[in-house]
Amino acid sequence: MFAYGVTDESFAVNLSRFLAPRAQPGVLSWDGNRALAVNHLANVTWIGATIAGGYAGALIPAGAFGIDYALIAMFLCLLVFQLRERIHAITALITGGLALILALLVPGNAYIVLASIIGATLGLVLKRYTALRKVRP
Amino acid sequence: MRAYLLLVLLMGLVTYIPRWLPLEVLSRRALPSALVEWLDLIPAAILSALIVPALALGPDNTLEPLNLRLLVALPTFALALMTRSLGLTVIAGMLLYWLAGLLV
Repeated sequence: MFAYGVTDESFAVNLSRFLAPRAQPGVLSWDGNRALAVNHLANVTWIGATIAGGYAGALIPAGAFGIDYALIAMFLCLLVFQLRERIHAITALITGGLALILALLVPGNAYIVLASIIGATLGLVLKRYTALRKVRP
Repeated sequence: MRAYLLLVLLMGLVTYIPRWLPLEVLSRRALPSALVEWLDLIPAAILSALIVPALALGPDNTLEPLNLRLLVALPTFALALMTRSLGLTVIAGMLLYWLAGLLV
């Protein structure tokens, strides 16, 4: 049931909510039902918006109102949600640089997966290494 | 017509399995801590891997350091950091990109 509603964006939203500290003012505590609601509301909206878009899209000129930027802005904000500790920010920086280099070298979209795996691995190594140095300086 | 319906059904199954299988298998066991910590870094890594090339590369896959998308991304990112609001960030990003496009 939950699995059926998983899309990349609803996954990111749910993940950040699940990890949010409980009972913080302004932040809803999260549970399975809310996560299900997010997933399926997102899917219903998706279906509705697809139909609406099909009819209304013909009326809107391509690229109006910065619509092209919606996806980038959304991913930027989802990234911000992920930057919980310094190691996340460092990992994001490393991976971003890696992805840029790999995108220039590797044809297709493989750079996304490649850079993510290498970047997260480097991040983990760095995290373990600094944790070790704190224990034994 | 029947072949078409079967095709739709199978397509549904194909997209469902990779979503359901990891949840089913992994939710029942404790993962090694190194894997958990690695997976914890994956979302930040993937999002960054999606965003940075999308901002810094031009349409013909060449480096394009000072383009509108990248410049608009800076205030948009700052706004996301300050407000932590998805809706506000998306709307502000679109508006900024639109206005910047009118100016250039």
